[in-house]
Amino acid sequence: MTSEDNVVADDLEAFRRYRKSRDRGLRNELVEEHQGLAYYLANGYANRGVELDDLRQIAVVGLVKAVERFDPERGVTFATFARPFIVGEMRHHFRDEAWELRVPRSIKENAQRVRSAIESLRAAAGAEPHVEDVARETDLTVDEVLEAMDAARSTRTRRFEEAGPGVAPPEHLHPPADEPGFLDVEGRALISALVDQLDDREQAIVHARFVEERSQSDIAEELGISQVHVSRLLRQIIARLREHVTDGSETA
Amino acid sequence: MGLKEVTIRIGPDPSLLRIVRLAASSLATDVGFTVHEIDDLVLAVDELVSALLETAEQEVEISLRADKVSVTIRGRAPGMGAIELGDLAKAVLDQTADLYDIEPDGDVPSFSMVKVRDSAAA
Repeated sequence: MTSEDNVVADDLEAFRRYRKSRDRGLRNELVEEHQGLAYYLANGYANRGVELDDLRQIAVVGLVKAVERFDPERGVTFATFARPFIVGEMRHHFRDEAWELRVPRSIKENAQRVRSAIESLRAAAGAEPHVEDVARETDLTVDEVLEAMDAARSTRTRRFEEAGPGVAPPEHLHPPADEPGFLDVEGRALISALVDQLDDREQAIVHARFVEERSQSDIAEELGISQVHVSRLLRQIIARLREHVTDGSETA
Repeated sequence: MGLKEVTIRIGPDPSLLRIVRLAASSLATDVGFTVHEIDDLVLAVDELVSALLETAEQEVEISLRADKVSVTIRGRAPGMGAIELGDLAKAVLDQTADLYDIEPDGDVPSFSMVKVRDSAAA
């Protein structure tokens, strides 16, 4: 067996473990491992009026779907299986550009709630939820959930732009449910006031991201870490900043 | 649960694709599709219906039918040339739909696709 065969065998074994456990950490590892495929396919859609970083986010959403659905016993490679999902997601995005510009704010907010609820329900039940489950969890009607699911695809990129250019989903998997909301409510000025609580590297990341408005990929390159790592760090930082805000308001 | 059927006639405008997706996902919800299955259905609908809407010059008819195990979608586009699906569209459909074809209905370019609930197919 060649070393390449070993890599493929290890990969299949990881997918088997994921199918059995549905462990989210393992899923994220698989996504990271195959991220290059998503980026490669995203490059093919460059120069069509969408930033490459945004295209990559969309491609990774397709990659996540493929990881969640891939059956290693089907006899096809993951790359073969994943390609249609990744490409399909990008094609869907381009078709929806006109609509996404007009998505009402209330639907965008519902989309965020629905995404979170789907993840919670998956994690809690270890099975795929039904729309009715999501409706109960979010206190929305079934129609509202469906509309939000549809909008979620379209608004993914736009939401990041509202939060600030290049804000990428944590771990490349989901839009950062808290990043846009945090910025909407608290504003960048509040971030500036709170960054003193962070260590030097965290401050540098926040400054680069929210003040200089640099992309996560750019920051990652400068720090010599992966873009996914930068995304995680930003999420952790924002979570901590939010705790400070919450503590402050509770004690005020 | 009985058969549920909806027919939509829309102008050849790709921005109307969303209406078809919502109709499809709504019917699929009614017959018990999961979020995951609806996601697949929506990707498949995107591919097939956009193939019509992007090239049709007249009104397009989309009929959607759901029973307790599946959703079937048919599209007809009178007055347009044959429906053509690119390799990528076919690859997406291969992965997301259980059956699809683009056989003409008489001399009218048409497609049909079926998405079966995973639990029903198992």
